[in-house]
Amino acid sequence: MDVERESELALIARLRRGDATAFDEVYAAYRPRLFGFLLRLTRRREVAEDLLEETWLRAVSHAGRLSPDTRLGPWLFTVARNLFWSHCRSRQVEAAGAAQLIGLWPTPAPPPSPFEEAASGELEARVFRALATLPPLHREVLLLVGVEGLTPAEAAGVCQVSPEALRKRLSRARALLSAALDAGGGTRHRTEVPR
Amino acid sequence: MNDEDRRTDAVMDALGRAPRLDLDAPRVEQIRARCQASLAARGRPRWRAGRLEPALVTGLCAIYLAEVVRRALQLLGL
Repeated sequence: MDVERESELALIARLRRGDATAFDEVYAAYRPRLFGFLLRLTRRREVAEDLLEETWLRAVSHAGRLSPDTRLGPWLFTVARNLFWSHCRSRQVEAAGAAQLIGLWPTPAPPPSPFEEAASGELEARVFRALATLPPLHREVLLLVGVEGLTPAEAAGVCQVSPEALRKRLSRARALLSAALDAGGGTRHRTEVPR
Repeated sequence: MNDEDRRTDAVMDALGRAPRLDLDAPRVEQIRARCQASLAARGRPRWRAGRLEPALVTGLCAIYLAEVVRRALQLLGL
């Protein structure tokens, strides 16, 4: 067992006991990663902030029931991801209700997010512009594997699909990203909520 | 490795160089404070309400039941 994993297990043991300093350590280590993930998924800062807050509150309330061998990163990304999709579902219900009242009101594309401007190079900027146009199902896979460095097996766990399904989704996401890059950004896809 | 593979690798590398994003400092502290409060509430002893109450109710029921049995036996003259 490597040292990193050993310290992660020790951290989990402290979290399970409700140790406040253990929470601070986890919060400092994973907050920027979770925020980046949620901001790139939602493309809306205020939504990402709200989902991040909810993610941490859920994490705290479930910490006592964590399995001792939990992997913190995948677990936190799973919580954040599930909250994102719950948010999408509630938005779809709201949108469906509103559409009945006011007809099919066009939804404007959100403005570019700060991360696009923050991208250091031309290629990075183009890649993140193209990434933002992908359907969230494919965007999340690229974010988990390409940006956050999760293994495909860990990402499959986060997305609650089989490793084989994840591999297919990742391959499709790469192809879509390439196509979007060729198209110079591409068109916005509809949000498909997984069942 | 063909051109397409090289391009895909370059794109994945670009994803890996994503800039680090974070909240504003006051928001960081606000979320941290809420979580710490929730953690502290979780750690507070709730055993008094959670364990003492059922024990007390069980004890009173046992006393009541014993009295019922005693009086029943008394009535039967045993």
